[in-house]
Amino acid sequence: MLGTAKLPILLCTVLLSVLCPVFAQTVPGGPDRPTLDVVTADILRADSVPGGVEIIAGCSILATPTIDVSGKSTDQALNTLKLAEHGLTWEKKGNAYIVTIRAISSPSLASVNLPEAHLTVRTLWEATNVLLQQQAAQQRLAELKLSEAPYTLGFASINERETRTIFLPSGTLRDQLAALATTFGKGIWRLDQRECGSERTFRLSWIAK
Amino acid sequence: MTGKAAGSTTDRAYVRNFAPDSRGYCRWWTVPTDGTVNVSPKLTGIWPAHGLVGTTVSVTISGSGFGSAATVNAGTGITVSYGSRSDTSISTSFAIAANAAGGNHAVSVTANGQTSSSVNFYVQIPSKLSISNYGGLNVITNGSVVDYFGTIILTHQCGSYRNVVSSLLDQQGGTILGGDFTFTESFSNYTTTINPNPGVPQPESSQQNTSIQPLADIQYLGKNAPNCFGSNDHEGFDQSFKVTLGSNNFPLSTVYHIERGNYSGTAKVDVTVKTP
Repeated sequence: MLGTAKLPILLCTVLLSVLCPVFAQTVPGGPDRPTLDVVTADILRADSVPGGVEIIAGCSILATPTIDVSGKSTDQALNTLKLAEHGLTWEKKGNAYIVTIRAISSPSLASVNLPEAHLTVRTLWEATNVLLQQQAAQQRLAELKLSEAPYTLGFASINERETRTIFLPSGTLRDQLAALATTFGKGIWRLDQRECGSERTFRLSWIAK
Repeated sequence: MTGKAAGSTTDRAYVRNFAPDSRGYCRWWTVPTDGTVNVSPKLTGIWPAHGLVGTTVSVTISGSGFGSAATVNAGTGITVSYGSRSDTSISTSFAIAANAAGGNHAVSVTANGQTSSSVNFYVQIPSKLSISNYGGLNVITNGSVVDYFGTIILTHQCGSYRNVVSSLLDQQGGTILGGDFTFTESFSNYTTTINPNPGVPQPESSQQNTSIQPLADIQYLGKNAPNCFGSNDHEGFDQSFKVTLGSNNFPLSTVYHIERGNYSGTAKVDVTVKTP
């Protein structure tokens, strides 16, 4: 039997679950079952290969794969996941592995075409910032009505000590990020594009550098 | 007898005799003599006297009586290879296994079948962090985010940031200078007033070598200008750390707590030590 003191709590809980579906549904499934994006990132990290993970998802949390990919090569592990998870595709650009996890059909921020660029930079974030400031990237962000989630700039890597002059041929943001990942050694980027109702966000981070 | 290499079996050696000189005064003489000489190796120094587990460290051992073929024993988990060797100095590389025991390892030199007394070499295990430089708060409305090294990381930003440098410490609180290792930060206990809730960030790893550069982090919350976060938009989270050397992981005990953003109109970026 509910006391009157507990009614406001109950009402708040119900209201939160109705009004805040993003928060309620983006909590990872469980501590022992990493989601698909985490599994793919771990595959790249484990093999110390450059690359990136692009996520285009809605309100629902991503799947938690049950397939064991430990002990497999990067190619084998990604192929195994691709067969099991229909939303996952991957390709190799040079030495970089690019994994796309698509849960919804919205246009991808990473597929925006950018002009060629000559960069003189020392850090991955410096380079990334130049790409995101390109007019085409800003236009795509406006079209998709994506607001940026906070960056986590992270610790400076010893791979980011020297000033580099980098030529990036024209291509998609995905291509250019892949080129950066390779240029800086074994960088891995993660572009998380989320759309849930009217809330549209993206978070770009370098999860390995 | 002095100054001769251990194991010289045919070389001329010298002994000191107490005998009268040509004027009849008794005093100590140094006179040559042929025959087998057995000089015990004497180990007087080791530099550096510590090294990070899972790495290879150049170590110089000094002393006397080493000869030219002395060997160095550093105990289980440390494989020794040699550079130049002289009677008074041995240049070595200590390959410290990733699973080597932490703490003191007795190091000794063996020459001509004789073994010196030992000195300690300390194997460092990454254990915790300590904030060594807490940079000032930077509030920008259309400015650049500049890291600890002076590099412009982001331009045209609106927000606030602080550079925080940490020292990596071993199990006794000594500073670890070396590498290369993978340093992973992970995040938990995320709370925010930002709408929509961006959620807890994924772990991030970086390659580090603390003999090359310190562990330098930027805590930044902001947006591309002219966009700015609202006057009460902020976030808080715990930051935990792990060092990976080879396939061995060393979780650090230290947990930082971060509060950053705008708090009722006041910009703040605070990094506090939640767990030492």
